[in-house]
Amino acid sequence: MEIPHNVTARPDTGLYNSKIGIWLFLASEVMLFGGLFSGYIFLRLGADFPWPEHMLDVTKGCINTAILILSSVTVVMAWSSLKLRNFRHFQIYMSITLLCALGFCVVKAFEYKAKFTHLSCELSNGLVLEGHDNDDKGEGNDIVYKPSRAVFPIETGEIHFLEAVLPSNEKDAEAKAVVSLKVPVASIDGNKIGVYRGDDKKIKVALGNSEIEMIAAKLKGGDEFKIEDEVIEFTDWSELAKVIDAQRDVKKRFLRAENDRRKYAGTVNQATLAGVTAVPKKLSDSLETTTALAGALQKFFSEELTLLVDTKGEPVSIKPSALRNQDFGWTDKGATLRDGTIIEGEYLQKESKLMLAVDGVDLRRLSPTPGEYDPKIMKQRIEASGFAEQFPTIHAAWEEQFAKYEKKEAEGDHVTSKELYYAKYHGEHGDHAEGHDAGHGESHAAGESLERDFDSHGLPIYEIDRADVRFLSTFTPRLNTYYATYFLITGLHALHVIGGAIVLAYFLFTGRKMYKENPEHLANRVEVGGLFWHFVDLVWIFLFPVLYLL
Amino acid sequence: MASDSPEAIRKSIKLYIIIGAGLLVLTALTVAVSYVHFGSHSMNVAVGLLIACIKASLVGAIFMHLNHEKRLIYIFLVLAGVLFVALMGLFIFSLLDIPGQNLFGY
Amino acid sequence: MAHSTTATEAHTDEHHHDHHDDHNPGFVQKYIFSTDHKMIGIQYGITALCFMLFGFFLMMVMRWSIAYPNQPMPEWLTMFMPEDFLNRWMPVAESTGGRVVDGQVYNMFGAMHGTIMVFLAVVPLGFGAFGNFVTPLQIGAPDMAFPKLNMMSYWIYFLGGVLMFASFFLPTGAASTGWTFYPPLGVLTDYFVGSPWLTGQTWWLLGLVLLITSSLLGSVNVITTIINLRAKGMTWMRMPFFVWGMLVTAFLLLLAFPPLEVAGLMQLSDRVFGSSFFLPTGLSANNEVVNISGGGSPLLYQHLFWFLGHPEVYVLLLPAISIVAEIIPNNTRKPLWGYKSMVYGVLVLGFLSFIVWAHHMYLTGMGSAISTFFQTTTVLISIPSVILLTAMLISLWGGSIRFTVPMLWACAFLPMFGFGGLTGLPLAFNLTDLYLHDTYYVIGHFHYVVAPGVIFGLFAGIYYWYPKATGRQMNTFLGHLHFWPSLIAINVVFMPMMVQGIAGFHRRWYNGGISYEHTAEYLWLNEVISWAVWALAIFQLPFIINFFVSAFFGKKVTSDNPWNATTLEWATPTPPGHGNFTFEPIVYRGPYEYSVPGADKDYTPQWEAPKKDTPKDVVKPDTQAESDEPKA
Ligand code: HEM
Ligand SMILES: [Cu+2]
Repeated sequence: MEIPHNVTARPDTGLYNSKIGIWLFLASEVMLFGGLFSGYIFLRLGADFPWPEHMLDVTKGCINTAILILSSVTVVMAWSSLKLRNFRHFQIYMSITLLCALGFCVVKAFEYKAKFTHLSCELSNGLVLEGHDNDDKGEGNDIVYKPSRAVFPIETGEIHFLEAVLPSNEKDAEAKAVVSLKVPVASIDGNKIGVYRGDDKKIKVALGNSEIEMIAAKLKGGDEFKIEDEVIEFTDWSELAKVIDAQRDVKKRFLRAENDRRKYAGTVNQATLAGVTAVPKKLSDSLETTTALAGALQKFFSEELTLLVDTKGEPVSIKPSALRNQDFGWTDKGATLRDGTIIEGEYLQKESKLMLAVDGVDLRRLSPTPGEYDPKIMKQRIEASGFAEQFPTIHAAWEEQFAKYEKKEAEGDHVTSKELYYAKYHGEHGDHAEGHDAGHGESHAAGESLERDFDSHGLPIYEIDRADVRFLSTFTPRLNTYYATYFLITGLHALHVIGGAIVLAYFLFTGRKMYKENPEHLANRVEVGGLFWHFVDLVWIFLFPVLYLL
Repeated sequence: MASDSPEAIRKSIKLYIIIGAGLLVLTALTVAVSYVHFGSHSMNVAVGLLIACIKASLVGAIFMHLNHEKRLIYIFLVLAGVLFVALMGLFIFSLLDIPGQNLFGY
Repeated sequence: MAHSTTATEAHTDEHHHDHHDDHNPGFVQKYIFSTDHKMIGIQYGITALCFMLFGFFLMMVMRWSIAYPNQPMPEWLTMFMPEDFLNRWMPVAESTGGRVVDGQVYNMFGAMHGTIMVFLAVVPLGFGAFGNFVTPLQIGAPDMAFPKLNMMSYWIYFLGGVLMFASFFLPTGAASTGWTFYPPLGVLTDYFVGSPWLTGQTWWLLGLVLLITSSLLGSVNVITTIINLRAKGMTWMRMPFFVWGMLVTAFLLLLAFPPLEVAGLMQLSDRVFGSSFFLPTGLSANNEVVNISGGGSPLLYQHLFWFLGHPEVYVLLLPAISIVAEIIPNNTRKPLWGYKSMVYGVLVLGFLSFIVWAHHMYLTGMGSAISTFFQTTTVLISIPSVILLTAMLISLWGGSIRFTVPMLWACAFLPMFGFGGLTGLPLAFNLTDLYLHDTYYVIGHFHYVVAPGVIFGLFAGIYYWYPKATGRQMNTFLGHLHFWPSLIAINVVFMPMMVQGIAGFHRRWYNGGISYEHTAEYLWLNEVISWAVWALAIFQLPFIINFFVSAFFGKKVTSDNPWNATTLEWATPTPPGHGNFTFEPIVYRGPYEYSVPGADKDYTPQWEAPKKDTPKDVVKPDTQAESDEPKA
């Protein structure tokens, strides 16, 4: 069966099927990107914080714009070549188009990468510092504890969260962290039931249905069996995961037994309420057995697993991203991870300090009313914030810029709040060599310089107390709604580029056969693919000024 | 379609290159213009979007052949365009008309 | 059945399972990864009916909790749920020994009832099943314009459905923040867990994105098919109204869904990447300020959601109303009254439905200028709706009505939908909506539209096209046993809800309002409603039996056109083979030429060539004859 108008246009509409299809799809894409842009405007008009403007790398944006324009030309040339029945030219133009797509993605990748490692740190007084942390991992320094105990939520916990905190032996031979877990083990007739370490040092799990049936049978028979706590040491995380899985299974079995118990108890209750004095023997038997079983099973699992942690004196570091809450998830007694795992121990304030190589400062959040920057109030606030004393190098850089634009403003030029209160600092090699260890090692009261060092680019490194940090984030969707929109729109756009490129590549590499059979069919396909490609370019034409320039 | 004949296509190839170059120039213009202040931020936005619209029209009209398309396709696009304007327009409208702001003088 | 084979195709015969010669596609290709629009339609239909049953079951459990809050569920409800799931979510109460629904479970079931009914049951049934099965047949096309894409739409929908269903068995359970999924609640529910990816809330969003993708592909396909694959002579104004309905529905899906996709992606980003699209500054949970940047807007979500949300009601409605518009002329043996005004009505309706959305948001503190705007458009949109309904009511006038089973459902649709529509008017005016918003009045109103309205329409369609799809009739007695009790029960379900709503019963109360003083007078209605719901459930059994048993043992139809209908789907063999038509269909006249004066029978099919001696009837089989273009 042939679908009509697959290749040739229908006379009255003048269109072949896929051309209608692609235009409909593009109409829907108009609404997709329309929704995104509308959302952007909605968020921007309603923003209660200084909206980032001119924050992206315009050069990279320009390069990508040019790349997309070029590819738009070549893709339409590829189609023209097919129309002129010149397959060779089609191949050449299409290849250039694909190279452009590749180039676009590479530039985009670099642009994203820079943001993933760049930090923005808002202090509790409203100063916003931008920069890099020591190891440039883009997370901010780890938060350091001397742990003693960890409580693991069995329902929703994930072993990899623990793993992120407590280094295993394999990973780091120096830090000999040993985690041990107290689990109950029962023994009947020389057989062990529960989770235990066998003679061969392997973890054994004996908690299947047959074992539980055995427990039930023994209990029914009136047997008491000894349950002892066994402490199992783990150095291998996969072993721990196995135990946790077993515990989850037992929890399910426990819930079953517990529900049965309540069912029987309920029936007895109802009977008593109804005035039945003699509870049937069968019922009371069932109640007894299930009560015992539920009780026994409960011993095999506890709502939370308590792990004893021994790091042999070594502190452990928690990545800020693993914390439930950067500001509130940790205290001097412990931290709560995102999955609910609680790490208890001693908080090491000094080791947990944030060391930030600062390359920019934003003072606009010091303003009491977002969007308004009364020079008098700003001056007062900046002085009160201790900016000058605590961050001398950056302050000097900002002051220089401020003076310049203040003068401009006085001359009647238009000056933006960003020019006045947002400064980038690019570092000065050598200049600050003598200040290298100026404040190093000194204790510092509030108001004293926090400057400790300079990094290889000459950027000053500041030592910031965790307690002074209100909000810390890389330049990712988390930072604010501007970056969230930026990543969402450009990310979707990049997906379109990749999707379009795959389709075009398919035409390029498999087109020859179709070209031989029916060149018009291939031309149609390329036209349709090209229309999509132009649309992707068209979206970027709006995206570029909206996100990069305005 | 006349525009599908080989001669017409050969002719339009030149046009594609010219338009491509024009788009590059307009891109440069957008960037340049974004560093000039036009009195208010909204003016800057207007100018930036105006240039973007011109570029978009060129891509649409020439590369996507919207300068000589079938009626149906215009219908699709007008529909999507109108709804897009409704979406964005009403979003902005709803954001501006918040009780207490007396937007329309009541 | 005469299976006149076409010259080109050896496998026209799709129905008989025993033909396993080399020319037939294998089982997998024929029934699972089929590209035949009819098989895909049937796949959509059966999947959607299963989901509908599931959504219905969730609601039965909810109704238990409302009527008998905190009381143990009876065996006939618990027996359908897996033991471990029950133990986890509805543990036995110590005092009574029975299982109790609590607020948490009610929220989960309520959210999923709404979601499943709207996105997984009614839209796939109306648009996916009927749209796929009937549209190409009615316009005389061999298949959809893009058969592979069609198959993909179905499987993406299926995947989305599986994801939603499977989320019930995650440790956190399925989504529980209403089918509207308003943030910040939607974002912060199960926000602090091991992996944000492994929560019901997140799977709901992922499922939604898949469902939207599927709908978009489907709508591209349907529109292209209608525009480009119409048979010779099938001009715009000769298209059956059903096809118009599908065209407008597809445009609604195509253009309204993307903003919801945006909303879904933004909320996904909020949940898993920690962004704040919809989270305002200073948001706190558990008495702690959440560690996010803030600065977002929950209102933005509501705008994006309802930009789809309102057109979505028409996506639910239009297939059903268009089915009814097919069945009425067929059973009154009379042309559809005001066909053209209905067509224009549905186009206007489609367009207006895009600009009424904020009538769901009167209580969000919007200004009076904008709420006046939305109030006006909302009232305007009732005009085309009334045109559609009135045209169909007038169509009944003076007809010699055959009360076949499909016609019964169609007839019931009219007043039920009418009632649902009229009760919507008080919700359109912001002054009355202040009082009625989020009460059971709203629940009653929209359920009148979607349950006795839309679902009745869809039932009508199933009974109507079943003979075409299977070659057998559904049993009439079972049909009656399905229809009459359902009609009565469903009114006993929803009419009291209107009363309760006006009395101030709030929606989403898991205990039906026992804790309030002002509800005391009408609490008894809770029990009435619930029993009616369970009765309703029982009277779906005749349908389920009828549906499956008739496929194998039903009365075989003796003609390709058992209802003596005029539209093209009845010109195909029964059931139609791959490629549909055994001759090239040419259309000579409008879709509803019933009881044409002077004709020898009371229906004149679209494909019947005019007789030689009546030359004024001859219309050139040329699609250019009329120059209307589609708009929506
Ligand atoms: C006879 C069939 C039905 C009955 C008896 C029924 C009953 C209910 C009930 C009791 C609620 C919960 C009210 C509340 O607590 O707020 C509800 C909610 C809802 N139902 Fe139905 N329903 C039926 C069919 C449908 C259908 C066919 C649809 C959609 C096409 C639907 C869509 C919804 C939606 C969207 C909600 C709101 C869920 C939410 O609160 O987020 N229902 N229904
Ligand atoms: Cu609405």
